[in-house]
Amino acid sequence: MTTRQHYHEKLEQLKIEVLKMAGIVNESISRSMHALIKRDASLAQKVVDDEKNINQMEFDIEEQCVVLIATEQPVAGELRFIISTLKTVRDLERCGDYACHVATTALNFDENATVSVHEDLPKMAVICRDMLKNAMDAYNEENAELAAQVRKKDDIVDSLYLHSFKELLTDMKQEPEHVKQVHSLLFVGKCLERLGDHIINICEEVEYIATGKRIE
Amino acid sequence: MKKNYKIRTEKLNLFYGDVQALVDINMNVEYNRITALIGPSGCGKSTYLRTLNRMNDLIASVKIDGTVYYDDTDIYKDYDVIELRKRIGMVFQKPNPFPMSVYDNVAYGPRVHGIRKKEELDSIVEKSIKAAAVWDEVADRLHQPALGLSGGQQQRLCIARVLAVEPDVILMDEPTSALDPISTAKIEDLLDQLKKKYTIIIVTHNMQQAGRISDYTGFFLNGILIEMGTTKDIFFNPQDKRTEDYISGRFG
Repeated sequence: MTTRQHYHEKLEQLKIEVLKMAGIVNESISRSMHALIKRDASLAQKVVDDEKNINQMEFDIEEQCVVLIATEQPVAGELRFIISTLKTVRDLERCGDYACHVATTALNFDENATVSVHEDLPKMAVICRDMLKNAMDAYNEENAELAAQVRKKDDIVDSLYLHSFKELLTDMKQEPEHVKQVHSLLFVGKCLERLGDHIINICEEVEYIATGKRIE
Repeated sequence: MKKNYKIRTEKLNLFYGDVQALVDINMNVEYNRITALIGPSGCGKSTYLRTLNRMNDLIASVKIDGTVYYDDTDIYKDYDVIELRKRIGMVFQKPNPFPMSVYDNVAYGPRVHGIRKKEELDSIVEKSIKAAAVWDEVADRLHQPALGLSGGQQQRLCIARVLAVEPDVILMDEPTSALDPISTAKIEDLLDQLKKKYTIIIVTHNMQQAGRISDYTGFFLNGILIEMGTTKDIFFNPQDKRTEDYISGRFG
């Protein structure tokens, strides 16, 4: 006989909220990079606006977690799920912040800027989005193996970051008149690199939910 | 290794007539720790508890196989039952003070065991009631009927009655299930004190209580000890899906 149906529905609902939040973050990463490449101010503004929604979702989900802990006394896998969800939404919120930084850079980019976006940056954004999507699939399925696979992909993001960093630095030396614009692109690279790190954190939480063991 | 354990059962099987209530229970109970036994109604946890001081001997149809060691002595072969129950005391679900005064309730056991001197009995009664954390509430009514105390006070008096015969192990069968939350909290605080001196095994239906107070937890289902481990492991990362389902309330 299955019991505590209401509680288990609330856990399921919590998961759906987190997945929705991740969906908006993922969209923001895509839009911010698009806005940067296309110099699309209205798209960038949309990302900036959505960041507030993302923050609000974090608070709402946190509150749901706290209420579940206070009223339902979760244990074992369900307790790990709630604790890790609290941490996951914090990481998602940070991912949203980085997308917002990229969008703000796009907004501040000189309309007449002649420097084009380094080709590694959109590649990093694509990989980050793919990582985030898979990390959230792993979260949904509580699939430790998938989460471990996603973590490995961060190496690609890191190497693209290093590569773009070196090239952008060279650009700075060669074209000192563009230092400000190139510096903005360096900042975008850093944002994307940090995004990858936060997605790794999410993967580690998924592995913890699934196995009860912490990844070193 | 075995001398680290106060109680050990090996391949313990128990039958009520044709019905098998315990199946091959192997369990080690550590000294000066609280071990909680959890599981749904009818899973065998109370039956198991009662095998440890031979309370099931009182039921005619019960047949027991396997071994229960208390300090490495087989209690079904080499122990006098009266002496055993002095060493291994028991507290029940419903407070069951004798219909006599508070003082006489606690002095009853020592008197049965031959203590007659008033000063000695006074000292045992005071010490036991203090150890059961109910002295402040009953000190001025020692000679009034124990049945006039509140449920929580009665239960702590029953614990004092057990302590008065200086046991070594205390078995508790849902000792707080008839009590309000404040009385429950007092008993839980008391258990934390008592475990410094005694080995405690407690059957509880309240899983949060098991989580709060015990060092080890054993989960019973259909007469089988499904999983036993540190309480932290059982409540945070149980290895058996049935344990997880039970403690998460997925079946009842």
